[in-house]
Amino acid sequence: MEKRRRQIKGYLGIDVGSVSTDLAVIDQEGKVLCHQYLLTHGQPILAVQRGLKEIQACLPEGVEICGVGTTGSARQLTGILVGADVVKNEITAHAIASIHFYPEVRTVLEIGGQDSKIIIIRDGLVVDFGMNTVCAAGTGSFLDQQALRLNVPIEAFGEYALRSESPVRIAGRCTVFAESDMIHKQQMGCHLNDIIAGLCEALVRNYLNNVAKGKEIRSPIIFQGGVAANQGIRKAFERELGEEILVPKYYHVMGAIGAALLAKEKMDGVETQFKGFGVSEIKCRTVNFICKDCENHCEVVEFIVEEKPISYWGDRCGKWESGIKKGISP
Amino acid sequence: MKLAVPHIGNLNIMLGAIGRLIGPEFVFPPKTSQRTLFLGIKYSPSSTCLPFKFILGNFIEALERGADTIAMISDHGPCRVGMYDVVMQQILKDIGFNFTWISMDDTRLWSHYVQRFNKERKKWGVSLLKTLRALHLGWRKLRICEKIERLAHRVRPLEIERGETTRVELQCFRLIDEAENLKQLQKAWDESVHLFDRIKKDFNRRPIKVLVTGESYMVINPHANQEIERKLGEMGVEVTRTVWITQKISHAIGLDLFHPRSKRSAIKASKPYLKYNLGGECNSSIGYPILYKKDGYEAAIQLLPLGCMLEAVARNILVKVSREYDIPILTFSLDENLSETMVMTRLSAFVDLLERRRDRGNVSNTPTRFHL
Repeated sequence: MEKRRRQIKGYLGIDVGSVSTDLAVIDQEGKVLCHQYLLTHGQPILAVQRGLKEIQACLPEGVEICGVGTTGSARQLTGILVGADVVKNEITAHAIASIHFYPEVRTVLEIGGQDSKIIIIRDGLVVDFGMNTVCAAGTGSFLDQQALRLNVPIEAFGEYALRSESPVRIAGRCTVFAESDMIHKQQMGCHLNDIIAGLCEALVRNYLNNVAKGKEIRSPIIFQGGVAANQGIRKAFERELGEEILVPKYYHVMGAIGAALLAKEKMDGVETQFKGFGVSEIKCRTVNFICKDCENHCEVVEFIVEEKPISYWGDRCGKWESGIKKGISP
Repeated sequence: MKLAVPHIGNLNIMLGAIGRLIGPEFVFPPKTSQRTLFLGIKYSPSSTCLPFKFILGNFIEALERGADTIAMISDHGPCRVGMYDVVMQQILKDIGFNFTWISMDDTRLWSHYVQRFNKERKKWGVSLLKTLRALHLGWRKLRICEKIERLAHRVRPLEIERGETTRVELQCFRLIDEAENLKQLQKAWDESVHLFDRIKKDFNRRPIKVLVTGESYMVINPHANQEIERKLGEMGVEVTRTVWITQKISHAIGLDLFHPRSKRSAIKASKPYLKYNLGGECNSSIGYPILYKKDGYEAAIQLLPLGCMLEAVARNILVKVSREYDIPILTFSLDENLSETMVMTRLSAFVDLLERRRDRGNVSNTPTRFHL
């Protein structure tokens, strides 16, 4: 009985971003078995622990985790916490996931909580990518903020935009200016629908002018990331590019699926380092300090599990990082 | 006279050697650190480029250490370095420092500087032979420092223990700085080669070769480009850069006629894209990726300080070069607000891109072999 239950091989992917933490489990064929989407709330460790608990609850019977991949801005921390086999950047993870679902894809537009990227793919190979630099205009957090200000539920943001007949023109270059422009239009008496639609268009223009500058956007185009839920943005993209935009079924957990696929790719007959779902119960915290051994003054992060330091990172010289290998075994 | 110069690569090793032998006395600012940048940001206009902030910070720290004279290059070309000279003097005076300013601009002839140096030399009472010897030693030191950097670029992707190459590299610079004459310098070089030889290496790796090009201050100085060479090296990438101090000096005095990878030939290679020589590193930033493509370099990274006009021109032309020559090019527009995480994310995505490209067989992947 025990043996029969442990037959399905599953691969876990965790994407810890600025706003959301996504988890996904795929099987040997790359089919998504289950996925979870929850908010990070500024505490990546807690979010991952909560996510693990939730995904364990919804996991089909008999699935054994044979590989774990982490991605997102907290990938390193999460990787150490759960014992990841692959720690990859989010650009590669997103690209892998979109190629998996749409082998023909040639452009991936991704807008998340704090960053937006464009990935150019030709013949199933990433050939170029772009990412927003210093400005977060047009990303999920800004939309969230505006939804709150206008007292519109973020889920309904897209519907409002679709109802508009003549969107107003809003300066989308910078969030601060966009907001004051929106207030100006609202005080002038413009309709809420038109303002929201105008905002969507402004953000799309800003994205195409900054992130996608100089990139060849060819169809099929895939739009993913949390903002892809917003129909208004999707319509604005379609209008601006004159092409059909596809939104994958799992648009919000594509990063996690990509990480899981990368783990699957790597774990060919290799034993996983996954520490098990028990990780969600352990007590852990991080401490950061500045190493004053040289002029570099690196900010070193110490990862403590049950009051024992198990790992360090952030040092340029590798002294802390490698010293631990000799001292305490994780 | 206590002379201060900004930190540019290993220039301080060369000038220190000359200064110790014949003078003048140099006061080098402490190694460029976060504090340097903070000082620079505090006193600079916010829209100036990153090199300005770093150099101003260097000068403030040098003046705090007791320097009384500052030597700074100037320019009359399209780059902002032309205004550095005047603006920095004013800022430093406003802070309340007293100093003499030596401006070295390229509107005067070389002979002017030679004459001036000769006058100073006679004042110090140093013989011509001794002067030439000191200059020779300084030049040799600079050359050897660059050789060590090149060596580190090749060894770092092969190292087994992360960080070992960087430690050895620093140790070698110290050895070279301490050498007092050519004989000791030769010994220091031999010792350096030995140290590099002893680093544990994995010769089965086949590092991807990436060229770092762009604006010279950003390319030469690890503190300005967030140590991009080290980061790439530790990801298993063999790096080379397009700007070296010796190359800049020899280009300026026209001694690089026969060098195959000279700035001259890079400018020539950029001709089909940009007929007019804009100055700065603009044309060579376009030309070098084309030249190095023939040497088996698979990709290029362009570094520019945010707001650099010349490199912004190059950046847009590089998009075309990238397409026509099939070289992936990643551009970093650096300023003090760019976070390290973001740089790391892009670099690792770029390396993934190159690795997957190589797996497809677009690029020949012969194992690198080299002997020290």
